[in-house]
Amino acid sequence: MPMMSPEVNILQAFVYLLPIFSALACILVLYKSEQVGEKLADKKVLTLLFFYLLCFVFIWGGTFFYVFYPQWFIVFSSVHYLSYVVLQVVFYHITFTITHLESDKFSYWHYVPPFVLAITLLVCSFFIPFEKQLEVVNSRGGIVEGYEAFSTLANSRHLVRAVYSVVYLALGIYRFWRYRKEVDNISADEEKASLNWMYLFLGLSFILLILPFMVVFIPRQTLMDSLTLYVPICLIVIQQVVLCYYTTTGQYVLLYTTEENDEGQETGIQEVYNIADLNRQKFERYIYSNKPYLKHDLKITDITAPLQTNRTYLSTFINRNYGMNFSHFINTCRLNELEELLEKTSNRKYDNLDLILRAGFGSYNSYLRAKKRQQEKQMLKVE
Amino acid sequence: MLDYNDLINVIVMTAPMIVSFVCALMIGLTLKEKVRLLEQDLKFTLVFYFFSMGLCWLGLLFKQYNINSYIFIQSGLTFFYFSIVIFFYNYVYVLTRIKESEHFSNFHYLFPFLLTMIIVFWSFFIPRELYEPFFLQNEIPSGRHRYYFLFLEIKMPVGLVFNAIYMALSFHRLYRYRHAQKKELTVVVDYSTEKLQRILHFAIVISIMPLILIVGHFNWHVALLPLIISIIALIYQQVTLAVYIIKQDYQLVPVRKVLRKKEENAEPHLLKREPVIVLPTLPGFVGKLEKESFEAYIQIHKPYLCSTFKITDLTEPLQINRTTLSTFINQQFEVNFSRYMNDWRLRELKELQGYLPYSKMTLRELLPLVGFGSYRSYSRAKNAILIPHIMPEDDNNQVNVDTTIKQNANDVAGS
Repeated sequence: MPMMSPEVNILQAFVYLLPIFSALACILVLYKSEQVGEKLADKKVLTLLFFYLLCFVFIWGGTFFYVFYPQWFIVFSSVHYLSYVVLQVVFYHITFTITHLESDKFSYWHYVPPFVLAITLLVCSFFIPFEKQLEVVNSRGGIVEGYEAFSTLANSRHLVRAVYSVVYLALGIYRFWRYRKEVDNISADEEKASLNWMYLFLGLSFILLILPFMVVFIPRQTLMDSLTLYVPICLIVIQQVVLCYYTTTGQYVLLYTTEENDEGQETGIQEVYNIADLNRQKFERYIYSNKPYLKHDLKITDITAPLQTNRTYLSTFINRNYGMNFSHFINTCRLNELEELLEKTSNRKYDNLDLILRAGFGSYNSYLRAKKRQQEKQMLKVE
Repeated sequence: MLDYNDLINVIVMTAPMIVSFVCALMIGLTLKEKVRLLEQDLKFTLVFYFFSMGLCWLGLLFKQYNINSYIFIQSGLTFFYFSIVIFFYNYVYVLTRIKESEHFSNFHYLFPFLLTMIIVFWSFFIPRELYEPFFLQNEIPSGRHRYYFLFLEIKMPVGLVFNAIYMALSFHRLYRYRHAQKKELTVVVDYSTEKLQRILHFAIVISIMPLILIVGHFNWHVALLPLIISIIALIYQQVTLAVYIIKQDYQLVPVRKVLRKKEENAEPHLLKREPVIVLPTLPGFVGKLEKESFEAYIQIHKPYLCSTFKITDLTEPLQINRTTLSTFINQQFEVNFSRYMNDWRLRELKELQGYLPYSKMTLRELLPLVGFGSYRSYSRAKNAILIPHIMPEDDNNQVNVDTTIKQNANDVAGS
C-alpha cells in the first residue's frame, strides 16, 4: 500500500500539533481575558499558568521535531528536557499558590534539579559531534557506543519525568486535601473556595500519569507508529482548558497574600473591643451590628482583628458554640439577612438576584447551596 | 520525514480547528454558572457554533489526507457546514433584541437539516468507488449517479450564498438595534454592540476565505498568504467571542428608555427582569395552609410576575397537592386560581403606576412587567372586582407570619 504511509504520517503530525495549538489557544484566551471586563485572576497565578502552558508548547514541539525533523530536535534538546521535567514543578507551584493556607512560602529550590539536568545536557552537547547526537536521537532511546553517558543523560528524561510526575502529583493531592479540610473555617465564599474543579483537574492528571510510563516501557518506535497517543493527548487538551478556564475566571480564593494586613484595616471595621476573651454576646453583637457577612469574599482573618483574637481561636469558638464551621455560619447569617430584605415592601422593586447579592452572597449558586443546606437541616427526620 | 508543504497544510487546518474545540469546551464549562434560561440558550448556541466550526475543519483535513474517512462523514458534515452561520446569526439575534418578546425561530435550521437528510438518504444508493475520483480528481462520473455528484458540486457555492444571506441578516439586526438605541436618546450606552460590530467585521474578512479556496481550486500555494491572514483573523475572532462569554461581558436584556436623565437619583434597578421561579419553602409553613400566611407568601415572593406561572409551580414549595391548593383558593377567596393571580397583577400594576419612571410608560409596556402575558389577558381581567386582600400595602403593620423567620434567626443566634 503506497498510499498508506503519508496518511499515517500526517495523522501523527496532527496528534503532536494538538496540545501545542490548544496551549497556544489557552495563552491567547489568557491574554485576551486580561483586557476584557474586570480582573478576576491573580497576577501570580496567571504568570504561572502562562509558563505551564508554554511548557506544553515546548514539550510537544520538541516531540514533533523528534519524530519528523531529528536534526532540528538536537538544537532544542535541552529546552525540551527542561520543559518536560519542569512542567510538574510548575503544576505543583500553581496548586501550592491556590491552596495556600499557612504563611509558608513556596521554595524555589524545587526548580533547581530540572535546571541543573538541562544545563548539564546543554554543556555536554557542545562537546559531542553533531552526527553522534543525531545517532542518539535516531536510535529512539538506544545507547550509542562510545557516548554511553551522553546517551543515558539524553534518554533519562522520560524516567525523570515519570518520577517527577508521581512525586509532585502526590504532593499536589496532599496540599489539596489539607486545604479542603481547613478552608470552610477560613473563607465564607464557599462557591469559589471549595475548588471543586480541582477534583477534575487532579483526576485528569492522575490518569495522565500513564503517559510518561508508557514512553518508558513501550518501545519508542511502536508508540510513534501506532495511534494510541490520541486518547491521552485529548485528555491533555481538556486538562489545559479546565485549568485555564477556572483560573481566568478566578474560581479560587487566595487566603494568604502579602498585602493581607493592609487589607484588613481598609475594609472598614470600626468597632474595637477591648476584652481579649470572646463570648457569645460580644461576638453576636459584633456580627449583627457590623454585618461583616455582607462582604461576599469575607475571610476569617478580616474579623479577627476587631474581635481581638486569632484565627484558630475564633474558628474553634464558632465550631463549639454554633455547631457549624465559619463558612456555614456566615452563610446562615446571609440567609437571615435575605429574609429580612424580602420582608420589606420597599424592596419589592428589586430583582431576586439583586437581593441575593445584596445579602452578601457571591452568586446565585452560592445562595442555592446555602439554602439547600438549611432546608436539609430543618427537615424532620424519622428513624 | 514530513514534506514541508504537508506541514504547512496541516498547521493551517489544525490551528483553527483546535482553537474552535478549545473555545467550545471553555464555553461548555461556563454552562454551569447560569441564572437565566436565555443565557443558557446563548451559551448553547455558541458551543454548537464552535463545535461545528471545528468539525468542518476536521472534515477539510480528512478530505486532504484521509479520503476514506471523509467519504464516510461527508454527508453528515453538510449540516454543520450550513449551520455555522445560522448559529452565529442566532447569537447576534439574542444579543440585539429590542423587545423581550422576540424569540429566535428554530425554523432557520430546517433548511440545512432537510438538505442533510436528502444527501444522507441519497448516498445509500451510491456505490463507494465513485467517490474517490470525484473528491481527488474532481471528475463527475457519467451514468445515473451523475446528479448526486452534481448536487454535491453545487453544495459549496450554495453554502457561500447562504453565508452571505445570514451575514447580511446579522448586520441588519445590529443596525436595527443601533437605530433603536439612537432614537431613544436617553439610553445608557451599551458597549456590547461595539464589540459585536467588531466581531461582525472580522466575520467578513473570514468569509472571504472560502472564495479564495474556490478560486485557487484547493491549491494552497496560490492562496497561502491571504489564507494565513484570514486564519489569524478567524482565530482572533473565535478567542474574542469566547472571552466575552467567559468573562460575562455581555448584556442580555437591552436597556430601555426608562432611565431618564432627570431621574438619575432613582434606583438603577427599577426594571424587573424575568423572575426566576425558584420559590423557597417557608419554614413552619409546609403542609398546612392558612389564609394569612398564604397571602403573605404570595406577596413576598410575587410568583405572579412571571406570566407563565402555573398552579403546579406552587405545589412543590408549599408541599401540597394541586387539588387541595385549588380548593383552598376557591373556598377562601371565592375565585379560581388564574383570577386570583390576575388580581395580584392588577394590584401590582396599580402600584407601579404610582412610581415615577413607570407612570410615564404606556400600558402595553407595563403589562409584561407585572406578569400579564398579553393585552387580551389584561382586558379580560380588568373588569373583575378586586378581592379584598388581608395584606396591608405598607411596612407599618406587618402580619405576623414571618415570626417563623425571626424565630429562625434567633435559633441561629442561640443554638
